[in-house]
Order: sequence, then C-alpha cells, then structure tokens
Amino acid sequence: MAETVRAVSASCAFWTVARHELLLLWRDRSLPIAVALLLALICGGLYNGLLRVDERDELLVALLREQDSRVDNLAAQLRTAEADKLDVYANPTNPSSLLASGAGLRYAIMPSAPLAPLTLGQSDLLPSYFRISGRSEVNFVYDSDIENPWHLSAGHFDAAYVAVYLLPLLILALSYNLLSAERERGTLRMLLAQPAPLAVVVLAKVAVRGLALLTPVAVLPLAVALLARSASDFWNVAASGLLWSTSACVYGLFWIAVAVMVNALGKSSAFNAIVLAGVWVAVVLVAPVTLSLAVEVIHPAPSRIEMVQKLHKLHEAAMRHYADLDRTDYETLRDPGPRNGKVYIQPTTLRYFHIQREVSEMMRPWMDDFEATLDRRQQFVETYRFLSPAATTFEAMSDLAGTNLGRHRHFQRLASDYYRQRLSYVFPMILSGTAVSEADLRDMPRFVWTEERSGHGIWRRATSLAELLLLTVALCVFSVWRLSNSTRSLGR
Amino acid sequence: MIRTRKLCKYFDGDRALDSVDLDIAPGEVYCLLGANGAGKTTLINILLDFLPASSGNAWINGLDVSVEPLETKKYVAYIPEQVMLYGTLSGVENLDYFVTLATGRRLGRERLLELLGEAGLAADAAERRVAKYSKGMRQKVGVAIAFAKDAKALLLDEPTSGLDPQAADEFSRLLKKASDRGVAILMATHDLFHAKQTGTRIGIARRGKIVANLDASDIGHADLEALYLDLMRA
Repeated sequence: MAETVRAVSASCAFWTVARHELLLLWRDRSLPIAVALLLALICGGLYNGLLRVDERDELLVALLREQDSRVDNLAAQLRTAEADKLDVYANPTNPSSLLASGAGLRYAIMPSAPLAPLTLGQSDLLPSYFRISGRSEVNFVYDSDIENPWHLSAGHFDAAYVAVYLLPLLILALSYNLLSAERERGTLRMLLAQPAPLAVVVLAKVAVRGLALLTPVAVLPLAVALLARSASDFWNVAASGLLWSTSACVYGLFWIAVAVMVNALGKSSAFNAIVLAGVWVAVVLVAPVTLSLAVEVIHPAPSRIEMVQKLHKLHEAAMRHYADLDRTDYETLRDPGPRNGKVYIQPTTLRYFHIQREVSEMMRPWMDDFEATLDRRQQFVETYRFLSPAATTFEAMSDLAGTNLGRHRHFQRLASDYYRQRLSYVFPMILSGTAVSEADLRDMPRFVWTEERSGHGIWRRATSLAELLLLTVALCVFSVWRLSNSTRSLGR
Repeated sequence: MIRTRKLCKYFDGDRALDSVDLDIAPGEVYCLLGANGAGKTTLINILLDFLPASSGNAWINGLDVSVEPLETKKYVAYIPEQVMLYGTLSGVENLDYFVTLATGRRLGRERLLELLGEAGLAADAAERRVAKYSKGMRQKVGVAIAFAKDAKALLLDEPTSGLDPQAADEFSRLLKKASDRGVAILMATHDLFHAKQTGTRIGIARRGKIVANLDASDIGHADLEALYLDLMRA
C-alpha cells in the first residue's frame, strides 16, 4: 500500500514539475527560441537535402536519356547500314563500337534511396554513376578517394547533420543547469523541502526539454520523407523513416542522459557547462576523428600513388606484350565491311582491347586486396564504433538513407560485374570480327540496379542503437541513484 | 509533533549539535535563540533531512525524518531567511506549484488568492511577478505555502532578519495564526524581541547544546536579554 502511495505521489510530482517547467521555460523564452532555432535548422537541412538529391536524380535521368538517345541512334545506323556507304572511322557494325567511349559508353547508375534527402552522407564523395566502356575496370571504379579517413566523419548540412551535431548542443544548452539554476536562484531548498523525490523532479525537468527538442527531429524528417519520397513504396519509406527518427531519438536521449548525469554531480552551472561542452567535443568531434585515424594507422588503405604507378607499369607491360599489333592495316580502310557478317578489326583496335582486358585482369589481385582492406577497415570501425555514439548514429542514418559506403561498395561490385558481362559479350565478337546487328545491340547486357540484401545491415544498426540505448539507460540509472543519494548534499 | 532525542552532529570532528532533546507540541511556538554557529540551522537542516544526524533521532508527526524523509516532508513547511521563489512567475503561480507538489492536488485560483490573502498578500500583488516582490512579500508567500499545505510543523530559519519592524510584526501575527491552527513551530532566530513576542517557549543554544529552556510567559524581555548575554559569555 505504502509503495502504491509513493508511486502515485511520484507520478503527480512528475506532472507538476513538468507543467511548472514548461511555464518557466516559456516565460524566459529559452524554450521557444531553442525550438524555433531547431525547426529552422531542420527545415534548412531538409531543404538542402531535397535540393541536392533532386539535382542528382535529375542528372541521372539526363544521363539515361542521353544513353538511350545514343543507343537509339546506333540502332538506327545498324538498321540502315550499307557496306559501301559506311564511314570506315565510324562503322557501327564494328563490334568495338559497342565498347567504345562514344556510342558504346554505358552508365551504371545507383538510384538515390527514398530517405537520401535526410542524410546526404558521403553521397557527393562517392559517385552515383560509373561510365562503363572498354577501358580497364580500375579506371572507373577507383576514381574517387573513398579511403580518405576524414570522409568517415564528414557531414553536410542535412537533417542528419542537425540531429547528430547540432541537436546535442541545443539539448545541453537547455539542460546544463537543471539543478544548479535552482540552487543559484535559491529555490532548491524550497523545492527539496517538498515531498517530491529529487530524481523525479530532474526527470520531469529534462522530459519537457527532451520532448520539445526531440519531437521536431523525429517528426519533420519523417513527414518530409513520406510526403516527398514515398510515391512508389509508402510502407517501406514509412518503416525506414520511423527507424531514422528512432535513431535520432535514441541519440537525443543519450545526450539528455549525459546532461542529467552531469547535473546529478551537484556542481555549479559553470562547471556543468564546461564538462558538457568537453563531452560534446569528445563524443562528436574527437572520437570519430580518432577512430578514423586509428583505422588509417592500423589498416592503411593501399596507396593511390602506388596504384597509379602499378597501373602504368602494367599498361606498359601490356603494350609491350601486344606490340606486334601496333599497326594500322591501310589496305582495309577502303573496304570496312561488313561482308558475310564479318568486319575487319584493325590490329590497333584489337591491341587496345587486349591491353585493357589484361590490365584489368592483372589489377584484379590489387583490387581484391583493396576490397579486403576496406572490409578490415569497416570491421575495425564496427568493433570500436561504441566509442563514438555520434558516428554510430550517423552511420545508422546513412544506412537507412542509402548514402553509406556499404551501399556504394555494393554498387561498385554490380558495376564491375556489368563491366565483365559486357566484355564477355563483346570481346569474342571483336576477336572473331563478327559484324554487329541490331539484335546484338538489343541483346547486350544491361545494367540492372538491385538493392543489397539489407537484413544483416539492419541487424547491425539495430544492435548498435540498442547498445546506445543501453548506455543511455546505464547513465540514467547512475543519475537516479546519485540524485536519490544527494538530496542531503544539495539541500545543505 | 517535533521531537528530537540525543541528536548529535559533528562536522570533521567539530561538534555542531550536542545531544539535543526537544519536544514541540502542536500549537507551540518554540523560538531557538543563539549566536552564529550555535547549531540552530544545523538542527533545522537535520529536521528537513538536508543533513544526516551523526547520532540520535528526530521525528516529525511521529515519523523518523531520516527513515522516511519524503513522508515527513508532507507534514513540514519550511521558511528560510530568504524565501526564494521563481521570479518570472506570479505569487499565485509560485503558490500553485509548491502546493501541488506538496499535496498532489491543485487548488483553484480563488482558493490560492484566498490563501495569499490570509497570509497578508493583496490580490493585485499576488498576480504580479515575484521578481518585483520585497522580502516581506516573499515571506508571506512562504507562509501561504505552509497554510495551503496544512503543515503540522513549521520550521523557520531567521525569518524576521532583514524585515522592517512593521513587516516583522505582521509576520509574528501570521505565526500566531498558524499556531492557533495547531501547527508546531520551530523558529531559529537572533531576534530576542520577536522571540519573546511570538514564542510560547524559548530555548537558548550554545555550541550545539540547548542550555536554557524557558516558558515565554515566565520571563520578561529584559530578563531574557540578560540571561541570553550571561549564557553567551559563560
């Protein structure tokens, strides 16, 4: 019975303090200002995200349109090809045209995911399309500096940036003096003389702030995602959006717990502000960068300079290897074909494709090693991610938005497969001098984007968020214990 | 109502309270006199569970304050030397907050104004922000909290210090009103005049010990002053 009475009293105290706190924060304008600032930041972040993703989507559509136009043009040329009227330098029936950088160029395209505007992530560092021609694979796959450790922690002004970097600042600005302000104002002794548990008082104070700040972060991005990006798959977007909002809330709760813990130490407002600023710098700035630098030291990425040197050497060796093909047979220029389904392939053309294929094959071990290194780096980051809740949350948000490194690597693998399929399809035709028909063009492998199986990724993110939630709960338990035992020291 | 037995408190070996035995019955106003450092505030802090006793026990309304601190606080009202309230809120809003926190129920606006009126605060002042209140006006809100809480015990720590004579007199009358309601009052003070005027019993503390316990009606003001000075010099 006594327990029931105490519970009712605690809940009553909670609502009383919460109502009172709301009134106080409203009167001194701190809460309206903080919420307005947060809303402006989120709206700015969402606008920027939508703008960037729309631009990228428009670019991808334009590329596909341009590619379709080229293919249609080539198909038209093949339909009307007459042997004696063909230009020897632009013979569409020559199979090398299917891999050439002009008519044969194809795009492998990674579409933006529905939540991409919420977290731009590394999407502007990692290309969303590859230009796939007959040139060796290494030329298109490694054309960006994805191994740069700074990119693991870099952010752009989007909703995720606001949630991960700026939201904690607002939480701390509103919560650094939960108890110290009462003491410095002189109201703490009056408060402690009432039959309300101190832990309940603090939790009610922080709940008002948390609710006011976490609601916009949770609701606005979800609403924008549903309104602007859910035309094709409402429920999938809703589920991903909810997970995104949950990540933001769990992360926000972590910072609230940190603020409560520091308040529970019972120190002055100045002390709390300095400690919390230090924690923010450590968690948001120092830990991700330290983690990235540790990755670079322990699992350094293969040197780009070494790669270029190796590429040059291999290219040189391949050129020597096929030196006998380094000639142009001028006799055939007058009669490019096709004749009886065959065209004459110039030795220099043959040599070019042999070299590109050989370079690709010779670079394969290096590329596999590079992939393995990236895997090890990713594994290392996963193992020690708990050291940086900011990185954990940002990574979870990037995963959900499809702007993470993992999805890009999946895209890279699909593009590599596509490159090899095209090569396997066209190269025998080049070797045998088979003339290309419209049907050959139609049957050429096409790039098909498929999403990575995300079960493992979701489980990984759910685990890391659960860890963060656990840490938050642990901080709360410590704070409640500390507050329950500090009424005396605070009241003195 | 307020009771202590062999209550002791040491700070790093220094004795602040030395085996204090105290009984304050309902309706009684016990004025505890003493120089700075005599242990008056320490006693109040222990009764509010702001400090743990080194030994001995203290009870309010039959409840041990260190065993059931929250339950005890339902029956206690506390008025410190400076009643500090929330400056951006009005007197009514401050009262509403503390009363709801103390009793778990909300009183209507009319009742809150009535309580403030009983404590001597005019309705127009009650609606103003507390930041503009004088010390006396804030003390009245403190008394209104005690009235509204229907406290069985009232602990006052130097409540009249810094009040002008009229405000101090008004405050004494409010205490009288509270004692008439059956509230047991413990007032720590330096103010011999108001102790004699308000108190039903007077205690004199010296170095943590209550060295004199007098019935207010048995001693004149001049005698009290002489006794006090003698005890302080001893």
